[in-house]
Amino acid sequence: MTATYRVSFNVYPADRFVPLGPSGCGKSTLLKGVAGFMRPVEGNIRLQGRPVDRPGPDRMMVFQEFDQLLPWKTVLQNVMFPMLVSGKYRRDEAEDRALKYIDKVNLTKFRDVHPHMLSGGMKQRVGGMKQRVAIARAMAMEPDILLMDEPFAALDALTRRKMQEELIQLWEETRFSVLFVTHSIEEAIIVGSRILVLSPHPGRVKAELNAHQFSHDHQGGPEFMALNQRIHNMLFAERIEQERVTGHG
Amino acid sequence: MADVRTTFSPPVRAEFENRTLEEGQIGDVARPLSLWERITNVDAVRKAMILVVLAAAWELYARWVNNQLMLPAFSDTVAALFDATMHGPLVDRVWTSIKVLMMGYAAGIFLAAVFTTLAVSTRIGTDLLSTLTSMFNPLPAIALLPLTPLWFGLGTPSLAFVIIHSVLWAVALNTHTGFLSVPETQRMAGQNYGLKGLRYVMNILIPAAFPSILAGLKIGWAFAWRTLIAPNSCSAFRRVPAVSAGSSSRTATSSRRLTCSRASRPSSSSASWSRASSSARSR
Repeated sequence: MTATYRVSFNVYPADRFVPLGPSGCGKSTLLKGVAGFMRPVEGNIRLQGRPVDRPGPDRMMVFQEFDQLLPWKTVLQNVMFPMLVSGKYRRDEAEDRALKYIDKVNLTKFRDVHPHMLSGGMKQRVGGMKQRVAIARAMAMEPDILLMDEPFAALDALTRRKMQEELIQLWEETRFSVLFVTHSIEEAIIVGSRILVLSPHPGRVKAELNAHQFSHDHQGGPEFMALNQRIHNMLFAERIEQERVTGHG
Repeated sequence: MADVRTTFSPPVRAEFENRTLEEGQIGDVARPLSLWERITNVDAVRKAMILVVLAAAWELYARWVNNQLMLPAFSDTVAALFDATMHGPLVDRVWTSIKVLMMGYAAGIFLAAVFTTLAVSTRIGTDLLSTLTSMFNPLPAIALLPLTPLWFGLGTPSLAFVIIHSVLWAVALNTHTGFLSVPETQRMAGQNYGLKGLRYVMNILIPAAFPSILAGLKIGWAFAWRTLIAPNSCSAFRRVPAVSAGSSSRTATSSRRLTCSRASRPSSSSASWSRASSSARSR
């Protein structure tokens, strides 16, 4: 199955680059390609000049699913695990770094808790906490690029907003590069500094837009709404056009 | 009716706002457990109670039957066990049996690990494991027993072989099923860290599939015992003329037996060789 067709883009250091498109446009496949889980049939993917041919810890991935944490390890052990198995850091270094990033995502209180015991009594909060652990785990590795596959899609609206704010806060502090896949136009504008708009299946590049000037504070403002509308039209204009043609024909 | 429905409306009630208590002020709400509840919360106590009831039922029924040969009473059995342990060779025999059991079990687990590691890392390994398990898993170890003395001679190697056979497939099948049910996200996360091959199996698959593996180990443990006990209870049919030609000289030397294996039965060919195998083992 062709997921995406001749998609080409450049991500610069400290970019918050957001591939955005409707479900089934192949944006997750694109991310898995960058992660090295799949190989493109045509063309290539390069990271700092080196071609990507297998998964590796220089591209840490944060998944949408909450079961990405290893349930037999505590929060601290989960965050330390990739640093240790990749051999990038020594044990004491790894622990220091893990503690620092666990603190950054506000989970110091839960460092010795196992993932299934993470709770504030509410299911939604557990989801947010698990995603925070996954983000801390990925960031503590200091990868060349952070890959996020709709990491907040399974969270409730309030938690999602909080997580978006925290992610931007973290970016302000450490200026990492991130490839953040989403199907929410609003999330793309808030989280992203540059948005890659993909057409419906098979995904092709429709446009690359700047969104670095927008944050939560601009939500509902006229410029924000205008960009939102513009992307919306790009994604759905074709379908409306088609429906009109078939409707009259 | 329609009129009633349109004119009926709920009463307008006064609004109110509560000041909610802080979580800390509420604290943990708990009720102390009674002594009986605390005692019955201990698993060992409940299981011991079941054993006591079973033993009592056994004792009562055996006394009612009143036939030492057909059904010895619980108290007699305990006495016989005590006697065999203190004065007879039981401890020695049990140790011999457990040594064979452990050897077979360890070898079975090792082979299962090799097969499943092959199965998760290569496609041909998967095919090999699924073909072999579907062929050999249904084959009871006792069905192999008549052949093993021919292949390995009498004694430990034969027994170890059938134990390996009964452990290997059960453990391999469960482990492989466990590996397959590890969530895709966890596998991808593991690969993302650059893990592959044996390190990937050791660091991700085995801990993630541990519940299934443990279930497989338990089944394998039970199967190993079954396989060990089956030939032993065959050998309990004593005073059987040795029929199988090849082993007759060795069976003649057999003189040891468990004190509780009193029952004797007329000859059957399968009984004679398995007695031979276990007596050769204990020599």
